[in-house]
Amino acid sequence: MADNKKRRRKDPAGDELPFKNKLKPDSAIMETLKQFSASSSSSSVSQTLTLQDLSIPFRCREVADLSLSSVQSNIESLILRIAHSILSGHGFSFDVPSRSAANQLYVPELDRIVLKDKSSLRPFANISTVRKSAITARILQLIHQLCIKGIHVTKRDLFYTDVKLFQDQIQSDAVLDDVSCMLGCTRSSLNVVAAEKGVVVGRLIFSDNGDMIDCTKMGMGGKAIPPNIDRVGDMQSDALFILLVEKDAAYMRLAEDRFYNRFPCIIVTAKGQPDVSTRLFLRKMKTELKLPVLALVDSDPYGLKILSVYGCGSKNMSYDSANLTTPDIKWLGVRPSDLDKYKIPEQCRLPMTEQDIKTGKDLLEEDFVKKNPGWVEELTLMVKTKQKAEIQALSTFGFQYLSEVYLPLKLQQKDWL
Amino acid sequence: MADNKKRRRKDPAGDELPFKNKLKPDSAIMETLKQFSASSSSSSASVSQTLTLQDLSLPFRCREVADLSLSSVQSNIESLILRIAHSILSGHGFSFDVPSRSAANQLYVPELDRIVLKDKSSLRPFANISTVRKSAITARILQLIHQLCLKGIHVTKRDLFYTDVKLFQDQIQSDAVLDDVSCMLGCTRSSLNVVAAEKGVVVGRLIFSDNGDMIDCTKMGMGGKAIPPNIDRVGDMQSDALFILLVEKDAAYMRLAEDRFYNRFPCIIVTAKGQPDVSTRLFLRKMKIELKLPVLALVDSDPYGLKILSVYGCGSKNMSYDSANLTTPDIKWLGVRPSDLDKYKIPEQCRLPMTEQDIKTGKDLLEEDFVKKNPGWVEELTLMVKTKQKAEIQALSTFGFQYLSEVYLPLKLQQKDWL
Repeated sequence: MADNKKRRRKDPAGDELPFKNKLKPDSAIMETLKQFSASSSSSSVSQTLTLQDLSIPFRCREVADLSLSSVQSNIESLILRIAHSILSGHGFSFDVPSRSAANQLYVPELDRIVLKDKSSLRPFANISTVRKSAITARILQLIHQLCIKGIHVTKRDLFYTDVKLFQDQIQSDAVLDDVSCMLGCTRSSLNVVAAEKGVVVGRLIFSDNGDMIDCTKMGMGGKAIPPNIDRVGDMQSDALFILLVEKDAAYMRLAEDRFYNRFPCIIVTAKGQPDVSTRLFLRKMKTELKLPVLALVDSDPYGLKILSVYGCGSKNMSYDSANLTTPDIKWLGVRPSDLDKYKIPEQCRLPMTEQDIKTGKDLLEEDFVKKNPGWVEELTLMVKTKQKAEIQALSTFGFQYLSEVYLPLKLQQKDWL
Repeated sequence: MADNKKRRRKDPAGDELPFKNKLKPDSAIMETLKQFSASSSSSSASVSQTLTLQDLSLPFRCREVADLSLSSVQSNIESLILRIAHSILSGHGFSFDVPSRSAANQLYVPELDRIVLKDKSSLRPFANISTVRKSAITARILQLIHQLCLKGIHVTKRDLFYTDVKLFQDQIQSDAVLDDVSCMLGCTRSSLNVVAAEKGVVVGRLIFSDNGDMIDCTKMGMGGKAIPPNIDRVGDMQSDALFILLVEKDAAYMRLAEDRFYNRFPCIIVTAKGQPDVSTRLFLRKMKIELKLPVLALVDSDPYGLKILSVYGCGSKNMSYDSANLTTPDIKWLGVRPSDLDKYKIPEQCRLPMTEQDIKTGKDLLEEDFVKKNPGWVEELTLMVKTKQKAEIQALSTFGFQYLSEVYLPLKLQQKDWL
C-alpha cells in the first residue's frame, strides 16, 4: 500500500488512468500468481509426454541432447559403418533424413511439429550427390574436431574452413542441419552456435560458462543470453512466472521499473524474431524451473507467429522441435480484444494491410491455433476489425502504464489464454 | 610457458600454424602492452586530449552540446518556454529558433578529428503555414521530455511517438524533432532520457554500475553483459585492463569470450555486433574517458569495416551535433587490415572480390578527412582498392577456429601492429 500511496502522490492524475481503479493491492495479485505457479508446477507431469507415449500411425524421428563425447562417438560409429560399407563393396554413401515439408507432421498432443521417418541416400558415386557427400564428410570432420577441443564456433567459422568446397554458406548450413538429424542430436549439441541477441533479467540465477549470474543485479541492460546452451545450468529462481516479451522497448520499461521485484518473475526477450539461443534458453528455464510462461507480443499476426515459433517450433528446424520449443505458452497480451477493453485510441491502432489480413487468415488454419479456442476467437476478431496495435500503443496512457496498470491488472484477472 | 606447453601438447600441429613460431611468451607481450597502456594514459592526460572547440581559432562559430543533468534539462525547457511566453506577450509571436543540422552546416575539424555543427539556424514560427505543424510537434516533444525529467525514467522513440500519434503521424517526424530539441537545449541526445535500443555486449576486465547494480564483466560467461541503454545510469568504472578491444562481429567476440582472451591479456572486449548503435558508442567513449585506456579495433578488411571504425571514432553525419559525446578519439586499427591478407597468407579462396560498389566506397573513403590525416590508413585503403580484395575476420578460421585468439591477436599485440 505504501508503494501505491507514493505513486498516487507523485501522479495526481493516476486514478484517472483506464482501469487504475480496478487494480487490487499487489498482495492480492501475488496470491493469484502463487496459485497459478503452483498449478503449473503440478501440471508438469503432462509435460513429460513424448513421441513414444503416443500411438501415431507414422514412425517419427526425434533428436536428443547429446554430450560432446556422445556426438564424437556417434560420428566415429557412422564413419566406421561407411568404411565397412566400402570394404564390403557397397560403396560410400550417407543415409540422410528428409527435412522437407512433406516429411513434417504437426502433433496436437505435443503441440509441435516433428519429422516423419523418410530419408534419402547421398552416394558419393552419384554425380548429383557427390559434392553434397563431400561436404557432409567435411562437416562431420569439423564437428569431430570441435568435440575434441570442447569449443564453440559459428556457422560462418565453419564456412571459412573450406571456402572452396562449400562455395557459399547456405550449402554448409544446410548440411549442418542434415548432420544433426543423422547423428540424432540437437542442433546445439554440435557446438555450432547461433549469434545470440536475447537478454534476460529478473529473479533468476544461472551459470554461464562457469560464471554464476544473478539476473536481479544486471541493471537495465540485462544479461545477454549465452549462445552455448550446453554451458548454461544451475538455474535457481523464486519467480512465479516467466514473462516472454517480443519488443526490447517493452523489456526496457519493465527492466527500469524493476517489475520483476514487484511481481517476482523472469523477463526474457529476443528483441523481435526469436533466435535459436533464446528459444533454447526459454525451454531450459521452463523445464528446470517449471514456471508458467506468459507472452507479451504485439497485437498483430506476426506477434502470434513469434509466439508460435517459441511454442511450436519453426518448420525449417522441425527435427529439433523437442528442444527448441517451450510448451504451453499463454498469450497474455496485447490481444485484439484488449484494444477495445483498454480503450486504445483509434489513432494508436493501425489498419492491417492486405498481407496482414492474409497472414491472419492463414494462421486461423494452423493446427496450433485451432486447438486453442481463445486464440481462434482473438484472431477472428483481428481479421474482422482489420486493426492491429503495438505494445508501445499503451504509452498513450503514460510511459509506465504497461508496468503499473496493464500488466498488474492482467495478472490480477488471470487474463491470459 | 606452462600454458604454451599445454597448448602444444594438445595441438601437435600447432607449430605449423602461420607465424606461430614468431610468437613470444605472453609475459613479453604483456610488457609491450603495459608500455603502450602507460603511454596512452600519459597522452590522455596531455593537453591535446582536453582540446575543445573553444581552444581553436576557427573561422566559424560552432555549436556544441553538453551532457546535462535531468534538472538542467528541465530548467532549460522551462527557460525556453518562458522566453516564448515573453515573446508572445510582447507581440512578437510564438516561434522556435532551431539549429540547422543539414550537410551545409557541418564541418570536419582535423584538430578534434570529428564532425561538428556550425552556427546556422532557422526560425520555426507557429503563425507560418509551412512550419505550424512542426512547431506544434516541437512544443509537444518539449512537454514530453519535461515529463521524463520529472519522473526520472527512460523511454524509446517509439514510446514518444505513441503519446500523440495523431499529431506526429509517423515516427520519422517525431524522431527528427527530437534531434532538433537536443540542439536547441544544448544537451546531448542521451540527456533527453530518450534511449536507443541497445544491442552491444561487453566482457572482460571491467567493473561498472548499471542502474545501481555492480557488474563484474569477468564473470559474465560467454554471453557477456548487455550494454545498458541509459548511459546516465552507468558509472563507477574500474579496470585493470591494458587496452580496450573493439570488435565488429559477434562471432569474433564469441571466440574471444569463450577463450577468455581477456584473462590472458587483460583487456575489455566490446562489440555492437555490426553497425554501431548509440548506446555502445556512448559506452565506449565513457570507458575511454574514465579508464584512459587505448582502444584497438578489430573489423573486417573491407570499406565497411573502416566505415564502422570511423563512426566510433569521428561520428556519423546525421548526429554531428553530438559528436563530442558520441565519438571516441584515437582508435587504432589493429586488424583485419588489407596488408594482413598477404602477410598472414590468407588463402585466395577465403578472400572475396570487391564489388563495384565496394570499390567506389573505398575510393570515397580515401577522400575523407579522417582517413587522409592517417597515412597508414591511406596506404591500407589504397592497397585494398588496388587489389580489389576484401576479407572477413572469420577468414582466419581457415587456420583453425582459435587462430584469432591464440596466434593472430597475440602476435599483433607483440609487434604493436596497429595504425
